[in-house]
Amino acid sequence: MSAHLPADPHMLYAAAAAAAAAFGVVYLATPPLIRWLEARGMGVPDIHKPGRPTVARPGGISIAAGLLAGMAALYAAAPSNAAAAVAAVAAAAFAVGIVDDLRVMGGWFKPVCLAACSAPILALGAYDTSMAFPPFGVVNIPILYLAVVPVMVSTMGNTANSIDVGNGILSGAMAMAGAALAAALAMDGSHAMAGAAAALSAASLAFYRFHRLPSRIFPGDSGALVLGAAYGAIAVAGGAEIVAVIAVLPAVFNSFLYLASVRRIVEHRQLEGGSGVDILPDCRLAASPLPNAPLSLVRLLVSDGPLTEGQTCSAILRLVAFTSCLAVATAAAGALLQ
Amino acid sequence: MTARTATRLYAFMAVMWGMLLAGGGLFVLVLGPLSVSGFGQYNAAASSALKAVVAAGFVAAWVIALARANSWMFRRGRV
Repeated sequence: MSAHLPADPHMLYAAAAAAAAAFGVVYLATPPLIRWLEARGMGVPDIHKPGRPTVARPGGISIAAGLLAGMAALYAAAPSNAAAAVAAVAAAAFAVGIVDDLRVMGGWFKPVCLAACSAPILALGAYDTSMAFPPFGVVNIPILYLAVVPVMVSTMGNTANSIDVGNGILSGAMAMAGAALAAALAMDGSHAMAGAAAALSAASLAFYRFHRLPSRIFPGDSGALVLGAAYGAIAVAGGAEIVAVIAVLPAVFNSFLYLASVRRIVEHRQLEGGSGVDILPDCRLAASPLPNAPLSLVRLLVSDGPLTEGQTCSAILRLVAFTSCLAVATAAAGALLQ
Repeated sequence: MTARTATRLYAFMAVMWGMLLAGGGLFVLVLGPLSVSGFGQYNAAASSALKAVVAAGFVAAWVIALARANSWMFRRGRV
């Protein structure tokens, strides 16, 4: 663990302040952001709805503002390099996401840029080279860990982006996974990063209010990348990489299916086989019959027959709830056995 | 989605979880005590390089095992 701070009530207040600031900023900033984006015609059609209504995008602006407010509150209450590093990673990932929102970039753009976004963690020394594998113990990998940091931030950012496939899925999943990570970090004594994870969860929960079915705003790449990269950064700075991965296993599985079927890193918009899911005239989702269509979690869900968007979203969120419980159980077992 | 597919999905999440824990246990048992001597001031670097190679092997084995499990549980020409 790297962000070690004494386990005192002050840290509980700091975590609560960070979560409250993140929630409050996202909750209050999102409605005016929706109006501002709509007034400027900045939106995309919601292809899963009858009539394809235009939905404001990118909501990553309010998510990033909320997350940075949370990190600022955490830093003000309990200054640490870890909080500063997470804030810097989130800001850099937001910049990458905004570029991708405004101009569709190639498949390698996001993984490479997100890996570079992890630089503040290395520069500020907000990591520990001992990697925890609960419930078994830790392994010290001094040089190898320098590669784990960019891989973790880049993978989590892209994994979060890949699960943004329906109304409320990304924000709902990150709210649950962030809460599980906060609980795991608190059990492990990494209270500063538990506060950061609580802020991430709170920001996601506040955004879910506007992102859930039917969405009034989409997070866009900027929202997905800022949440995913910050999640990875918190996991690294708190020394809870494995627990963090467990909480988002459905998203990892989705990325795995996609990469295993496509066999290269490419934007789904550039694939000849489409997204792998067709939209029926009644707006239900069905598995694409195209042989070269990529596999995905959604395609797997609709393989038995068409589902509505609501059924698909709730099925994925239930899976994330399940894996978040597994993550907390893993952390609890690790805390008990150490 | 049928109950059978839902059950398979949750079971696969549990399998992935179990594979992560088992892989972590192997990391601790195998990588933890691994050290290299005889390289003087480069012992730490040599140990890290060896750990990196072993870790890469573990990750590759994990991905292959995951692919096999995925094929066994889901594919079978259904999706």
